Amino acid sequence: MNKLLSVLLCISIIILTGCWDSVPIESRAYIIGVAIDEYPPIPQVAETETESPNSIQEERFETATDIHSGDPLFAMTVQLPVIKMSTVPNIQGIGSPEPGTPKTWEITQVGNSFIEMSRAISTRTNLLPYYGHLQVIIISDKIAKKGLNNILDFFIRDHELRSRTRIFIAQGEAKKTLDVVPRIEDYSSIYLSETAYNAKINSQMVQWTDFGKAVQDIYADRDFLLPIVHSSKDEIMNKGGAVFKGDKMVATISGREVEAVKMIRNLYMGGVTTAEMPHCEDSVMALEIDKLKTKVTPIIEEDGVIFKIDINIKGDYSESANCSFLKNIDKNFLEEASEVFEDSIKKQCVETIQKIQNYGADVFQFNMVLKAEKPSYWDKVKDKWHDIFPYVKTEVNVKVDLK
Amino acid sequence: MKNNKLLPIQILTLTSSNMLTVNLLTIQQGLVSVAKQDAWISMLLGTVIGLVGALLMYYLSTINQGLDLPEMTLHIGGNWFGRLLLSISVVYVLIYSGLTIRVFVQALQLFLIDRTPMLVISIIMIIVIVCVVSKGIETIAGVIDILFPFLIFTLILLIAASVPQYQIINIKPVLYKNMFNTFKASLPASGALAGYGSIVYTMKYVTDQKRALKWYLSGFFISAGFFILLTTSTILVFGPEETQRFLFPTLYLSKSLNLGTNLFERLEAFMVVLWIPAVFASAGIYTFSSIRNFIVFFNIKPKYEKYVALVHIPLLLFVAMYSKNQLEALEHMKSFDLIVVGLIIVYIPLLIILSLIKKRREVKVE
Repeated sequence: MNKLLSVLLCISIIILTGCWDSVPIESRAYIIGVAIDEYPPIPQVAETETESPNSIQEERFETATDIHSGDPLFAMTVQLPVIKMSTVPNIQGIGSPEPGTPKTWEITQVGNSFIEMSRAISTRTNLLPYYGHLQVIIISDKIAKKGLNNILDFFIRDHELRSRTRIFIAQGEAKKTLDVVPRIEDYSSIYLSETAYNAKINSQMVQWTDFGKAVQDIYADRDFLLPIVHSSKDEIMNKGGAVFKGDKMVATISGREVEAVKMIRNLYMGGVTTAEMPHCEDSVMALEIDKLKTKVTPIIEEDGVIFKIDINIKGDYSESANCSFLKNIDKNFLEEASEVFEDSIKKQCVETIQKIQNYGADVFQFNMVLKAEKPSYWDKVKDKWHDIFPYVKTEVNVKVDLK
Repeated sequence: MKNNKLLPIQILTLTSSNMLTVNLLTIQQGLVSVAKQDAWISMLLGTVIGLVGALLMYYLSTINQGLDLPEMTLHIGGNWFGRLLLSISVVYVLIYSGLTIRVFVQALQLFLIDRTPMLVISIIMIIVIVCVVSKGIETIAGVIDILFPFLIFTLILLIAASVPQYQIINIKPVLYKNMFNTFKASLPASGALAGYGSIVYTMKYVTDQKRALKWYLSGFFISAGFFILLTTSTILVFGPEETQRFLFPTLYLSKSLNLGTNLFERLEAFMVVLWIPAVFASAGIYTFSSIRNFIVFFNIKPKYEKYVALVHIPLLLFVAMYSKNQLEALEHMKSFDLIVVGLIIVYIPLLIILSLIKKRREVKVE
């Protein structure tokens, strides 16, 4: 019997397995970035008009998918690295790429189903699209305002895609962000993806940019922030945030406001804050925050709930600008500076809360705190929380401990 | 198969491996959909229920030394009633073994080899399992001894790497208006641990049965601990709302890990690859049990025993391919996790009572 089993096994290995899933590495189109825009109508060019370089480019970059139903609603651009043009020394011995040669290939496809558009892209390349190394998904603010539910299903279901892929909101056209030619990195997607790591030292960036995290918040019906990016020809700025109420973007906030949200939500990873320096006109002093711990406590009162926000900061007094650095830094000065920082941070938090309350989006996730800490009260208010949140009272207490 | 011998310590790896089935990849979804954020407490309660079941099984083995479950069922129940009882075990073990293979093949397709047909993966897996199983329990135990540390390492790595993403708020409020659901979910939780039942098939091969208990319990607690930790980790990372949408929460957990660098970019693929031997081990023990059930149930002579293993190839393949789609297969798996709880509550105590009555009668006759 063992012989029979061995023969069966050998035969099956030869005739059954083979290489169904084997794709040679050089045959894969490694999609490293995806940009999603609202589908703009392709400008009609008069037949008599001579073909301008722009229209040729338009034709080259944007192809409508032969869709099965409905009208095209989205334009999906994918970025493929042209590996042989990479500056990384390669094994084929091709050497350094010629200056000015594109290192990426951006393919735009128009349609209303993302899987259809993704498959349609394969009509324009000899490679097999592969999302396993996707670094960023960039969504235009126009699309985000209509709701992420409309577009994320494909990315959630696709087994190749990792939930760690970073998601960004672009002000204006998302494709422009992919078109950026970075000065150091070869690919704009990787450049953008890696900016998120700097949230450790700059608190004005939203650090939780994972696609999976956004999906998690949407599933749990929580409001959240996503990073907003602005791009120029060779530079991308990741600063500030897009405020989401449910799955819809309702506003943008500045870097300073993102900083306050992170402080309140206890998501602060590191950064610097400044305040006016005492006894030194027109000068500022900087606090480099090492550790920030926030405790949000809901207190139920007769007229509603008050959130007591206690922010404890430990940090270094790191700079005084526009004031002599020879000024003596003694215990009294540090105590005075701490108070100034406390007032400044408190003001920043209070103003941010007020501003975001006006948008009605609970990005502080006070609802989660209430649900966790006061579940019986939450049961009473959960159905009308979005009506209650704009009027919720808060009490911000900041304690700064200067080293 | 009769001449095989096992060391007491091998009961640890056999029990633990058999408990770490595909359930470890899927259980969170079912528990969270019932008990929400308290699913981890359900898993704890399920472990307590499971421990009672494990001790009952061990006791059954010790009062029927030298016999495995099918033999003792016939010995206690006699030719007709015994066969009737045994038929339950025959059907359950065969179907559960096939389902284990099916669910894992689904996971393989979803995360690793999506273009390879399910039929092909199933055939290869079943042939390999039957090949090893036909060599006897000693071979299975030897293979598992080698594979077990790799499996444990993967699980420890996964849990440790997910710690930075824990959000305590995801498991709050604890037990608020949720006591009933938490208890309700503890039943499938205990069912998911039912792999400890392999003791009633393996105990008769152990050289020193008195020393086997500590290894048996160690194996039980290692696996139950991983079930508890993984359920808790999944809820802490994803929260209950998202967890209940995943078919394979454990693999999604590995897919979502963010270590702050580009380290372990495809941890889920690594996990799936390492999981292949784990499921192989578990399905192997179940198949071994099923073969033993068939041999005793149909009273097959030793010279024909080897053909029973071969018969299992089409049988397992049929069970594995029976479910029309992934969801149906997972639903069947959940149903069988509940059925096994019923079996442990009714079948095993019944066998213990009948064994004790039979022994008392035998003493009186003497």
